[in-house]
Amino acid sequence: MTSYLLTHILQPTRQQTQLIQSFSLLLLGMFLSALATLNFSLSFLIGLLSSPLSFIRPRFPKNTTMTSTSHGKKKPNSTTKTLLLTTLFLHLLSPATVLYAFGPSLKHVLLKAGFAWNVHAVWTPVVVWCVWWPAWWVGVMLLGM
Amino acid sequence: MQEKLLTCLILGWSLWSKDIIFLITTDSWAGPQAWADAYHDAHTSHSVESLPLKSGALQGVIAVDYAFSHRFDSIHIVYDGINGQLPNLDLVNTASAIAGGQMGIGVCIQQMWKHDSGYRDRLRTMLRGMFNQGLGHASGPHSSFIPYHVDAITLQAVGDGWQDEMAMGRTVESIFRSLNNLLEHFHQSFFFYLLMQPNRFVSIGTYLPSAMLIAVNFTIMAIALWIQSGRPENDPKTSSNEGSSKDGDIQVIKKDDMVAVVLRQSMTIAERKMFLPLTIVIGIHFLGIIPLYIFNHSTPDVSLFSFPHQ
Repeated sequence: MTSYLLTHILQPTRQQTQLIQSFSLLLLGMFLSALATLNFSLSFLIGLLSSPLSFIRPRFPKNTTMTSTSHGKKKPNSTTKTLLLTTLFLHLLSPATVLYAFGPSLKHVLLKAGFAWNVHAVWTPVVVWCVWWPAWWVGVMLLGM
Repeated sequence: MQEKLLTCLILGWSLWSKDIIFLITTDSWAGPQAWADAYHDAHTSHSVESLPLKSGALQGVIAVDYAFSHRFDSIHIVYDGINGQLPNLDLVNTASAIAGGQMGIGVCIQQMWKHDSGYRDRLRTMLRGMFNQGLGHASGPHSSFIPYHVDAITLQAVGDGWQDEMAMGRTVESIFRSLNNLLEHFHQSFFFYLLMQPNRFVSIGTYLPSAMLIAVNFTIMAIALWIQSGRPENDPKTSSNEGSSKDGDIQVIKKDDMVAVVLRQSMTIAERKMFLPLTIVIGIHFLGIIPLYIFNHSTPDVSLFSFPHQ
């Protein structure tokens, strides 16, 4: 959805798309390395779950011969299929889906998370929503461009 | 009944060099947190009352969880704290040595009721430990004390055996006697470890490189993309692919006995327009505050929570 808005309103160039991905991955990398010294397991798990994000390649407006082979840059008839598969895969790994896969019910998980934040001052939700989810969002957005 | 036994056991002795505080709360999650906050004056006064009586700095905390009335078989040690912090390994080792060695009670961790010391069980224990640590949630009444740099564990009685509350009481008393003569907080052993068995652990020097490699993966990709973004837009190959070339189009570069002949065009660095990418990335990161706020400040009655139960 956001990618549609962005592509049609702002029309970023190929270079800007690459830069978007570059900055997003850089932020993710920096946050995860700093987090590894505080809560190693959290950094490890989030790093594992978001590792596909570094392998996505957005489609570029012109299929220049310079881009290397990767997802999305193949012969025209198989591009959409790989793109669909990649998008589905990425959606499976999103924070929202992972939350849903947990626990007896989503309500239970969210309640516990809210309790943990308000009572125990647990900052795991901060990491999930402010670091992982934006990185995932940027990734999915790039796939849609 | 247990407190009465313990108090009787303890009151008669003159060897105690520290105050022992018994904390009994109505619930095991918010209660200890409120008490710990109030003890360290970190509480919000409208939700938690201040404590009228305090002692010195807390040396250690043992939470006892003996929730049933029949005799138990082994002790389950819970050591995960809030935000993935762990107590000093010395405390866990002390409890494990006393229960296992001195009292002859079996010890288990991470809900691994059966452990055969093989690779799979160790791996499973370690992964469960990582999962609990990664969530950063409170896994027992002791978790609330760990952020205050007070080493704390919970001893849970599990199973069906022949150990009774006297055994639990003696274990607790032995642990207290070990803590009794300490002049300082635990600091000699590790604070960052992953336990595979009650007597085996992985130290941070071994496991940190793995997380760092995963994080560095993103940084390397970011750098690669940055370099790619600096390449000029038009592919030089498509512009001139015959042998003929104009003078000045080709550049010869020499470095350390290596000679490369490249088109001058591909050596230029394109100017990077960074405003849009920067705003998009930073904007999206700040947007993450919205779900954070929604999930943490809404009550269970809100229709947001009407998801289908599994």
